[in-house]
Amino acid sequence: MEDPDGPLVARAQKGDRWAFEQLVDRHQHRLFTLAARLLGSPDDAADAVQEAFIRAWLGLSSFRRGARFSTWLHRICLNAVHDQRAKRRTSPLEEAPEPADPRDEFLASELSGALQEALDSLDEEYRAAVVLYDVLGCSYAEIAELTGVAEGTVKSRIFRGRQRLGELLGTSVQPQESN
Amino acid sequence: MVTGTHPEEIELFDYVEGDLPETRRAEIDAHLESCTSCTERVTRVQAGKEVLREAQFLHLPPRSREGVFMNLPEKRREPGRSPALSPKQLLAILTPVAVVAAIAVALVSSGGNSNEEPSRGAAAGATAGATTERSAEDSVAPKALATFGSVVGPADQVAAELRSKGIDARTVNGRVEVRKATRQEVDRALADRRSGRVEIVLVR
Repeated sequence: MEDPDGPLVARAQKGDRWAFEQLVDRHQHRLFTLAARLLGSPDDAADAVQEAFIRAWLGLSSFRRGARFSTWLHRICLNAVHDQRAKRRTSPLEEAPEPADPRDEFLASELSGALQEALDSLDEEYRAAVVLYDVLGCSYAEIAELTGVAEGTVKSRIFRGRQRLGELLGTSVQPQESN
Repeated sequence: MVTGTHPEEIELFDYVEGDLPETRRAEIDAHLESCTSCTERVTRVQAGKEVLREAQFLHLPPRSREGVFMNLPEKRREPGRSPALSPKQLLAILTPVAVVAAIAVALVSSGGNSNEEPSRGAAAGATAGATTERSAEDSVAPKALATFGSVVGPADQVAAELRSKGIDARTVNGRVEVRKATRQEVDRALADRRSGRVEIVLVR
């Protein structure tokens, strides 16, 4: 299937900043959701997303045609998240200031709720698998490409990640009927 | 009593996702009726799926979005410029070099001073080539129709400020190019900025 980002990517590869900005606008919220759910901190997530877009801009010449831009961008974001987490481990956690913007308040409450706490307790590979599949709606094939594992392993990670979340957040839901 | 052996994890996952063929699904349904451990696993996985469905999609704060644009290095080439030298540009550079080389060969063969002339000629040739290349680049750059004025920068920040106020603006070669906006709109948008070195131009 043709990459919907293809024409903009081609322009951005020639140095067109406007085209790249359109790509940023298309993907910013998905990348931020991914980073925030994996890092659990809005500030760290914003730093990781900013870093990911800058790396993407600088590395556009290495993006090969035929690949899917969004997959390439998500992989860069996962690397930036990994680096941001390592950076956070080496520097002490600063106390977050009181949010002044209502949108920040929503973000802060969303990332301090029971779901995020449960997500934070998962192993990194399970957390990435459930966020990519259940929150962002990525396919098994895309997750397999992003994380460098087989599709069967992706399914297994989603299964175990969900199972742990179910244990932590309640098991009142009954097995669903056949679809 | 447990009916049959326990299904594998991936099969239970496909069961939860509704991705199994009908016959296999019926077999697992039968197994679950008599196997508490598999039923508990499936129940937890479905509960986990439900809570993840409630996870909100989060939006990058606007100030962080602007931060992306302000921090994008000016490393990449501007639009309209080819990634490598075009044959025309290459010819413009190589022609003077070839002329210099020919003169050098002529001087050597005629017994002239070969230590000085070729290097002087080469410098001139290189300058001529660079000038030609710049002209070729200028010819594809957007044409400025009007200069709005100059404000204090940096340029990326000025462009970001204009965009945040609904004006199509971007940074090109250190200046801010504005599209589809009037001088009054730009003046209003940048009313708080002092005069400076960042040039603002309207382009086609």
